Amino acid sequence: MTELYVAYCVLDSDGAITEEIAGLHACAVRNLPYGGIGVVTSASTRPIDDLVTGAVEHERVVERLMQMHTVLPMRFPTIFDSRQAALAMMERHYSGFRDDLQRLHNQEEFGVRVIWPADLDFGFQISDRGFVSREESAIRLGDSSSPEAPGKLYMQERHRRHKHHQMLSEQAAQFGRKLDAALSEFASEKHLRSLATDRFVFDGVYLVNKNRQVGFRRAFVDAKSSEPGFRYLFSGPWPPYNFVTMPAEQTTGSARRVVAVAAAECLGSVGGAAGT
Amino acid sequence: MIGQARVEADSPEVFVEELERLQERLPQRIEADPQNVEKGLAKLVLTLIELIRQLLEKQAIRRMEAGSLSDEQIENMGLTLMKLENKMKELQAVFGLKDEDLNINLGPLGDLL
Repeated sequence: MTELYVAYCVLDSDGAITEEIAGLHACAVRNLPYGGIGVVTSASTRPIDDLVTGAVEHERVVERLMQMHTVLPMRFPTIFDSRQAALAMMERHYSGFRDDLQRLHNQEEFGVRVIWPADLDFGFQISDRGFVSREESAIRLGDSSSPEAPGKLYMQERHRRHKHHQMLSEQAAQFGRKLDAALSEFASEKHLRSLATDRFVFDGVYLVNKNRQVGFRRAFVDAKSSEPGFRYLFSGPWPPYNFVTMPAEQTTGSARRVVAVAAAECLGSVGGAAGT
Repeated sequence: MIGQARVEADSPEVFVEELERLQERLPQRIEADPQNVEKGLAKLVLTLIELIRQLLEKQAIRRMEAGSLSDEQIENMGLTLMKLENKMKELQAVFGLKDEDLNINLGPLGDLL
């Protein structure tokens, strides 16, 4: 099998990586220089047989490099079938990479997620879609307790569910505005989602300058203590996966086939946050 | 913790459970290989019908709240939406699709439903 190039991230340097860092299959990572920046890769001649282990190793490499450089993390698995292909990718996106490296210099990503209090009375059973389990709904489809006006009863139930969802959305928005106001003060950029699932009242990722991370964490702790009962998740610092702006593109050729051997279901994900 | 990144959570098991639910809803792609083409197309079509059904339901609720529908109109609307939902359930069962399958991820715009 020909040698493949497993890519980890784009780096703000075209210099050699001085520290010995092992990548996938314990192969040392190397920086392929291109115009003052570089793409970090390691050689591989066999398929990625364990995606979970591979993803953790990928993350470990990127985080290690992040301590020394500004990085544009690539989505795992990003694989090129030759050095030329990796450099061609660098050529195609060079300008965008430069812009992102400048924008993300000294910045890291943090995640904040919040779940409703455990004792919150929803008044509804939470189902996979919406706040009322269709099976548990007061109105069973085609089995109405009001044979005279099943349609009206159905609409009344839907109306009740709609109002409840509206109420929870408003509460989530209010909670989110308050938490976000506290965190945004220390963040450069952010992406927020409210009610990503019925239980998530808040789901946000923040880009925070290294100089402001102590304040960011303190703001989170203060906000958390002012709203007890909710369940919080705080994570980071991560490579700025959610803030790389380069568009994804598909891997081609033998690299695609190698990934397919081990991870056919992941083919749609081949292509990096940093544009590969 | 992987490298220097840390994850701190009040109830890790609750977040794991919820993230798994979220994950099930996110990677929405049309399965267009020869073996799954029917199911993939059914998923796409039923997702669009579900979108329209939800829009109709919201519009009906708005009109109910505004008092612009008579009892007879509400009854008719309710029966129509109920039958549509029943039919959707039947078709989902035929193609082996769950409620959470009826969605399409629109990238930066989020989920369709």
